[in-house]
Parts: sequence; structure tokens; C-alpha cells
Amino acid sequence: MPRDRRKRWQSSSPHFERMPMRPAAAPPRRPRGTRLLGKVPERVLRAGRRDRPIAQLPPLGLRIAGLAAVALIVFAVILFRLWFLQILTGQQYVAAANNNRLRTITVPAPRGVIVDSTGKVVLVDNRPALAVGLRLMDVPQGQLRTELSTLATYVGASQAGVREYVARHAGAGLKVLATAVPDAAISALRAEALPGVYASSGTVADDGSVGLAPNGTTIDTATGKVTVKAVPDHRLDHVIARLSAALGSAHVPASSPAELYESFVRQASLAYDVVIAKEDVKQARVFRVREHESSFPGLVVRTDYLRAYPQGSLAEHVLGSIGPVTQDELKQRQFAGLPQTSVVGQGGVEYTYDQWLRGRDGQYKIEVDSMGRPKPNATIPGGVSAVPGDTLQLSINAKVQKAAEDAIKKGIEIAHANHFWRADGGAAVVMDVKTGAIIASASNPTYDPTIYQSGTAKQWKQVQANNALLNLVDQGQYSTGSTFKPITAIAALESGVITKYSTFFCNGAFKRDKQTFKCWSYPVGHGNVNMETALEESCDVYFYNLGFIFNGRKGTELEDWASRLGFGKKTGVDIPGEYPGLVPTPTWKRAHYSGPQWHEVDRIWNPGDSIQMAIGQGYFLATPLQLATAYAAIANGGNVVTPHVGMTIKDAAGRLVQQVATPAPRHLDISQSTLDTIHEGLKLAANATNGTSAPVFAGYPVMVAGKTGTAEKVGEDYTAWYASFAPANDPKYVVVVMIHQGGHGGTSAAPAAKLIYDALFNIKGGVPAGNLHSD
Amino acid sequence: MTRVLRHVDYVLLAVVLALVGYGSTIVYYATNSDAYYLRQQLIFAAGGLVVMAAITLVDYEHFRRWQWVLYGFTVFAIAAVFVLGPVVRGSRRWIDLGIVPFQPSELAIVLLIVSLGAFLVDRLDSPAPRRMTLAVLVLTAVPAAMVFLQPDLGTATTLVMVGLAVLFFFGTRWTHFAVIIGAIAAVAVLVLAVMPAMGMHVVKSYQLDRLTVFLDPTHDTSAAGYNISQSLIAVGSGGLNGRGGQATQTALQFLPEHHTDFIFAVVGERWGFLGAGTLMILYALLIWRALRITAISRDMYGSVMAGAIATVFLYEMLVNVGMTLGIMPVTGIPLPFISYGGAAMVTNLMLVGLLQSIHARARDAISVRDRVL
Repeated sequence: MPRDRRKRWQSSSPHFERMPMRPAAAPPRRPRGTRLLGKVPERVLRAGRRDRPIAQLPPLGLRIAGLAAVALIVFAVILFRLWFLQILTGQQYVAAANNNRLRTITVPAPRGVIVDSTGKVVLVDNRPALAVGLRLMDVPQGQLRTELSTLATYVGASQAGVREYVARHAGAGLKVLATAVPDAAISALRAEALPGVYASSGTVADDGSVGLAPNGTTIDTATGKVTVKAVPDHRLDHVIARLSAALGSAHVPASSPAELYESFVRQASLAYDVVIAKEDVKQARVFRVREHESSFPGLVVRTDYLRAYPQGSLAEHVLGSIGPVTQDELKQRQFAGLPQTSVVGQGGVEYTYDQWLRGRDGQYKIEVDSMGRPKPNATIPGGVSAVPGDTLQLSINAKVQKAAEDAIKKGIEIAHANHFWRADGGAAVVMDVKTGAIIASASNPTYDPTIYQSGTAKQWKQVQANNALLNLVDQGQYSTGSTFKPITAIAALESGVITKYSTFFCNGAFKRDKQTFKCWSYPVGHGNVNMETALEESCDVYFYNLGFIFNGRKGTELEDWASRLGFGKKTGVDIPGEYPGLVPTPTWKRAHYSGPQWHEVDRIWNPGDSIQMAIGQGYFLATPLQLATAYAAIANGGNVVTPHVGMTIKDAAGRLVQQVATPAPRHLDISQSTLDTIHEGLKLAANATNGTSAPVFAGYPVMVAGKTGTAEKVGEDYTAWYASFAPANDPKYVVVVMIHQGGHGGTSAAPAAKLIYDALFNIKGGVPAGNLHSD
Repeated sequence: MTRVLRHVDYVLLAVVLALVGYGSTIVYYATNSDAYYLRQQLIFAAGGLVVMAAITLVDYEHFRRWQWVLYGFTVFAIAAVFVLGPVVRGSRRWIDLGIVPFQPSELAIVLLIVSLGAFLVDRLDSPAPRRMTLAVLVLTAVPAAMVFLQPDLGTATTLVMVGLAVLFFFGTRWTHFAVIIGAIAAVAVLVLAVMPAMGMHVVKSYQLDRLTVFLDPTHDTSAAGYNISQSLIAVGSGGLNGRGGQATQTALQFLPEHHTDFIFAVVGERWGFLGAGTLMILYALLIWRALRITAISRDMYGSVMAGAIATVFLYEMLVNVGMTLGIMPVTGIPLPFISYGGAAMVTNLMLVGLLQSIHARARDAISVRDRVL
């Protein structure tokens, strides 16, 4: 074989031996056109076996032309494509390239500080805290859940906790995770009724789609509004796992728990946002994360500002809280145009004065690489620096505020000491009678304001169990008891029902229509009492008479005067969420009991209703702040002020930005003699021998005028009230104290009020021995 | 020697040197002006040019004698990779020869052209053309299948192209091609559609993703579609004149494999339509010279080899550029003379050496004939 081969090779070489045998001028098969390719030599065919004639020459020229044609087409296509990409649509890709490399970094602005009326005591401060999160656009698709879980262990948080935190903070509303889900799976999901999950039935608009809303939501469907329940704490992983199982068994694509989770977060946070995995991460842990930065594409470490409370829980109900802006809030004018991820005031003055406190976030652009990591010298020139929020100065005086809060606690203690064991809270408000500036506003139970930032579930449970978040000053609605009597007095004197000299006889009870209304001193009576004595001794029978007279007259004079003095409607205080209280009228009662479960007898306004209202009982409800406003009007000559805590707004450099404007007081036409009579009665009540709060205030260095109140409510102990102003002859401050279930007004509320006056006038008084059983 | 030098195709030489220079420059920029890559690429080019010169001087007629040795060596070397080659990114493609790494699948392109061409030309007047076509297909399929299993899909398809090109320029009947193309289509349908449906996955899923994602790169921009999306952004942002030093897609590494498989995107971004167009003109000249040599070759063997070389250059260029421009599937085929890498550079210059050798012998033959006549 090798020999054969060599022989064959030898025989066929050198090739040009045979050339002269062929005509040189006319090669057998040379298609036209190939000559263009150059000077073509004679082609020699080599056959393996020489003894056979060559059947044909291959059509080489045609084949070359074929490949040339293909090449022509290839180059044409490539050049066309290049022209399309680079010339026709090039600009779009330049934008995309910039989008690739530039990231907008938001620098959170420090929120404004809140100080007290002296400007020296900082009530709310900022604390820089490191937040660790991910920029979603730099997180590879399909990696989000894993990356978050790993990040969680590095920052020292539970994996499930971080996942849930991110999902809950990503954004509100329902996000569709699967469409065209088979009916069987839809029915199964509907039967399982997972919280936070909505599986649409087969309506045309949303055929077979399944959505998730961890925070719950209400959606409009063809069949009406559907409420999706919020997922309970720590249950999100479980819900997603169940959802995944249901969708997976129906062969819905991309239905693994990780995919569903990622899909939700990416949809909810609008793709380009940063999701924060954990706030307030310790520096050492941040270092650990940074060391492994390559494992966390899109890692973001940002300095956020958290609220700090140097005074602890002082005035926490007034200050309020901050939190992420909600979808609904973004639609309001106050928050219009804010970024989706803003943190805004969510309660108290943080909410009211948010536009000044929030400052303006800064922004700059950096250049990043394909892993989303900043390049060295990455910052692009330009950008906007953060503008810190303005400082808000409140009319709250820290010292008085502290005294008021302590006074409530003391009042509760006194109540307990006097066997009113159920005393469980209270409110105190101190206000400037002329301007309505609130100097102290205290509510008890209290809570730790940092709970909004770092509260544990246990803390929240406790706070919610005792309603500590409620600001009883403007959200607590109660019967005010006898503290309402001066209002009845104004109504009676101004309507001409009686004069200041009119007397009624008190034998300890008031009987009308088989009903008996007892005086607080029952069975002892007060004898013949005029207005001043009635106020001094808080004679109920006197006011029962007035109530009965009002009931017999046309119109609703008593109710009208109550309304004029600010009851039954919001005071307009600059703290959100106040309640309006209630001034009952015959119209109100008819409307309130209009339901079919009530009878006509329930709807009729009885004389008893007026009689009860005259002493601040019955349907009548008021907040401590309303009572303070009414007493301020009595003290300042009939001007109904708008209570407020905001005073001035200064920028970070201390320049005045804005003086908080409060509406001018509404002047009521109350005759001077009426006011004098009531002032006299209230002075007597606090100072004269038989005065209901005289044991507390008689001989006090500053003369106080004030009225005790003991409100009754079915199923509760008496709620103690004290409403007062001082100095009595030139009123400056109104002080209202309420001790819920604290017994008689003189027992716990008046002593608490005294402690507040001590602080107001710098008097070293101490806790007085309260009188036990006055009204 | 002097005769060969006189008869070298200097246009081809100029085109190839221009391509190598163009490639080295863009590799330098693609690696953020890293002199290391430039130096390496120039060393590869220098080594390749030496090999090219050596092949130019050799009469390719000698290769014909060694056809079975060359073919056997090809298969053996590829097989050796399975035993000796380290696994790099999931596939074995290299053998370390101590001084230089050796990539048999690239060399196989050259050796297959030489050996298959010889095999066919030796049987030019075979009485059984069908059996010969089948034999060439089998001889092609063996190394191609082995390379496919490395796995290196891109080079495997190039080897298949070599087999088809050799048949094409040899003059295999159109009917045979019709059957071959029909069979390839049938296999493709079987492998890509029928067998996965039956639960058998011949093509790895990432390969399938890469093959199909170019149809809709926006479908999944961060996984399989990421490369294409970033590549399109790079090319598109180049515009008419290119972004020059502002070519952020490359500099910031958004573009993966930017100095190897996706180098054309760097060209597009940095030098724009004009730069990419210039490169296309160089390739057009290269193909033109190769086809011209196919036409003027003194014998059938040279024609078949030159035609196959033209086909390989055109194919590699089309697949690579097409991939970068989002009109072809993503396969790891380097851009001839441009992509960073020694094996491909040496292989391509060897092919040019073959072309030069064929050209020189053809010119030689013409001059001899002219003298004789």
C-alpha cells in the first residue's frame, strides 16, 4: 500500500509535464466572469487512477461566484445592520450607555430639629445611622432573594425578617405575579384564602391573575371592591411558599418562591429604586459587608438620619413620628412631588410642619462599573447638595411639659392612694389664654417614641394594648362633669334665663317627672344658692334647674353656647387627629337613633337630656383641649383662640423662616358682668372656705380660679377633672387636668393641676393633701 | 525561495498586516490600555507570521502526501484534550505543552482543510461520488463531534463548515447538498425540539439560551440576553464617528468578553460606523483575494483549499459580527485577526500562509508556462 501510494504521487508530479498536452488558450470549463479574478493558469486535474478518463471538470467558477454572492449578501446585511444601529438609532443607545454607567445617588437631608419654647431644649434631634440596601437594577435577575438573605446574615438580621421588611417597604398595593392561571389553581387559592393574596375569578378584565399585597389593600374589581387582608407578621415566607405551591402544581412558569418574591419586590419598587434591607446597622457590620462587596452586586450603604429623642418620651404625643410616605399621601397636596421613597412626618407636629422639617434631599451622579460598584473618583461634577430641614420651635416649654407629665402620674398615684384603683391615665394641657399657644400637653399612658424606628413586636403589642399612642389631650372624648358648669352659666346669663342674683333651693336632689337627679352632696343640700355659690360649691341642683329651664325654652341656647365656645367641633390645633367631641341637640339625637333597632321613645329629646347636659353629663363629650379653649375664652374676655404648638421656623443657620400663623381668636359677645360673675364663682371655688378645690389652692401664692369636675360613666369609676386659669385677676394660663377614673376632681385632678402651677410660677409647693369627697 | 517571494500575493499580505494591526490596536483599547494584552497579541501575531511565512515557502503538494497523518493527528490531538486538558469555564479546550498552550480544535480547522481537500482531490474521478461525499461527511463529523463535546459549539460548527466548503469547491453535486442541508435541518429540529420534548437534552440549556436569545434580547436582559443587550448598546452608542475615549461600555466592563468574542462591539463603540466599515472593507478584500486565489490556483487541490479558507473567514466573520449586532446566535467564535488570543491568530495566519503558498505556486506555474510557450 505505501509503495502504491508513493508511486501514485510520483506519477502525478511534477504536474506541468502534462501541460503542453492541453490547449492553453481554451481551458475547458471557465465560466465567464472568473477572468476578472486575475490571470488564470491552466488547471491540472489529478486523478487517483490515471487509467480512467476524467469524467468532467468541476464547475469551479460557478462555485466561486456562488460564494462571492454569499459574501456580498453578508457584507450588505452587516453594513445595513451597522447603519441601522449606529446612524439611525444611535442616540437611543448613547442614552442606554449613560443609563448603564451613571447612578443617581440620593443624599438624605437631615430632618429639621424640634426645640422647645426656650430654644435651648432639643426635643427631637437627628442621629446618623447606616442603612444597608440594594440598588435593584444592579442586582442580577433571579438573585434578589438569595442576595438579600446573604446580606441579612452579614448585617446581623434574620433572613426572613429582612425579606419581609423589604417586601413590606417596597411599596403599597397589589402586584400581579401570575396571569393566565388555570381555573383549578385559582379556585384552590380562593379556597385557601391566604392573607395578602388576591386570585381573580374569571372576569374578563383580570382573567385568572394572581396578585400579592403584603400590607393589604382594597382593589376595584368588576364585582365591586375587594379587600385584601394584610399578611400577619412573620408570615410572608409562608404565604409565598403556599402561593408557589399552588401555582407550581398548575405549571405556572416562574412560580418558585424566589421568583415570586423577586417579581413582587421589583414591581413594587419601580425598578430603579434602592431597597433598604436594614436600617441602623452597626459600623463593624457595615465593614464586614463591604469586605464582601463583590458578593453583593448593587450594594448600597447610605447614611440615613433617624430621629433621636434627647428628652426621652417627653411630649411624644405632640411630636409625633416619621415614616415612609404612603401611596395615598403622595396624592395629597402636602406631599405632592415627593420621591416614592421619602420619609415624612406621620403624626404630631412632624406631620403638620413636615414641609419645613423635611429639608431637601441632595443628589449627585456617580459612575459605576458593570457590578454597580462605584469607580474610583466616580463622582460626576454637578449635583445638588442636601438642604437640611428647618428648625421648628414649639410653644411647649420643656420644664412645664415635664411637670405636666409628672403631675398626671402623681394624680394617678393620689387616685390609687384614695382607693380609685382603676385610675389608668390622664391628660393635662397648659395654654396661654390670649394666644392659644400650648405650653404643655401631656397624655398618659406614654410610650417610647423610638418604637417607630426600632420597636419590637412585643413593644408594639404593649403600646397597642393600653392605647398609649392616643393623645388624650385632643383625642380623649369624655363627659366633663361639673367643669362644664361655667359654660351653662354663660348660656343662662347671656340668654337672660336668670340673673346673677337668681337663686335656687337645693335640698340635695332635683325631682321632675318621677325622675330624681341627685346633687353630689346628696342627701345633704346646699340650701339657697346663687350663681357664684353654685360655682363655688358646684351645686348640681342649681344647674339641674337651669337645664330644665333651657329644655322648656324654644331653641337650643345651651347647646349653641357650648358650640360657640368650641365644643362639638375640632379646635383646629396643629396636631393631626384631634376628635371633635359631641354637643348633643334634639336634631342630633333623632339622627343618631334613627336606626330600626331604636324606637321613637329613644329619639325624643327628654328634659333629662338637658338637665344632664347642664352639668356636663349625658351625651355631652369633650376633649381636655376643648375644655381648655373654652376656659381660655372665659379667662380672656370671650375670645375663642385656636390652640397651637408651632411657634417659629428657623433655618439651619438660625435665620427666621416663618412665624407660624394662627387664626385670629373668634370673639364672642359675652357681657362683662357675666364674665365677672363666673370669674368670681371660679375664684371662690378655688379659694373660699367651701370651694371645691380650696383645700388645694387656698392660700396659694398665685390666685387660681378653677372648677373641679367628677364625670360619671356607666361601668367606670369617676373621671376626675380640673379646669382652671391663673393668675385669677389677670389670667395668663389656663390649666386643664383630667385623670381617667381618678375619682373626684378635687381628689386627684386639682392636686395634679397644682403641681403644674408650681412649675409655671416657679413655686415650691409640693403635693397638697387633697380633699376626698368634693365634686 | 526568491521565486516564491516574487510570487507572494502582496495585496493579501498588506490586507492581513492591516487586519493584525487594526486588531492589536483595538485589543489595546478594549483592555483599558493594558500593555500586557497588546504585547501578548503582538507576540501571537509575530509567531503566527513566522508560521505563515514557513507555510508559504512549502509547496502544499507535500501536505497531500501526509493527508492521513495530518487527519489522524487532528483526531488524536482533540482526543488528548479530553484526557490532558484542564477544565476552563466548564470546558476542556487546551493542552499545556510547557512553553505554549495548544488548542487542537483551532488547528483542526487548518488540518481538516488540508486533509479533506487532499482526500477528495485524490478521488476526483471516483465512480461512486455518493460514497465519497458520505466519506467526507463522516471524516468531518468525527472531529466536529469531539469538539462539540469539549464543549465548544462555535469551533464545531466551523469544522462542519470546512467539510461543506471542501465539498462545495470540489464540485459535489447540488443534489448531494440538498440532501445534506435537509439532513442538517432534520437533525436541528430533532435536537432542538423533538428530543427535549421527550426529555433528552443534547444541547446544554445555556447553549440553547444563547442560540435563541438573539431573537429577542429584551426578553431577559440580565441573563442570556445581557451580553447581546450590552453589545447592542455599545455598537449603537458609537454612532458615525465612535465615542473614542468616552467608550464607557468597554471601559466600565458592561460589555462581557470585550477583548475576545465581543471585540467587534468595542470597534463599533470606539470607532463608530466609519471604523467598523473600514474593518468590513478589509474583510471584503481578504475574501476577494482568497476567492481570486481559488480561481487562479494551479490545481484542484489549491482551489479547494483556498475556497474553503475563504469560506472559513467569511463564516467566522459573519457569525462573530452577526452575534455582536444581534442578528446571529451567540457562539464563541473569535473575530479573525482581531479577537485577542493566540490559537486563533496562529491558525488564521496559517490559513493565510496556505493561501500565499497556493498563490505563489499558481504564479510560478503561469510564469513557467509563459516561458515554455
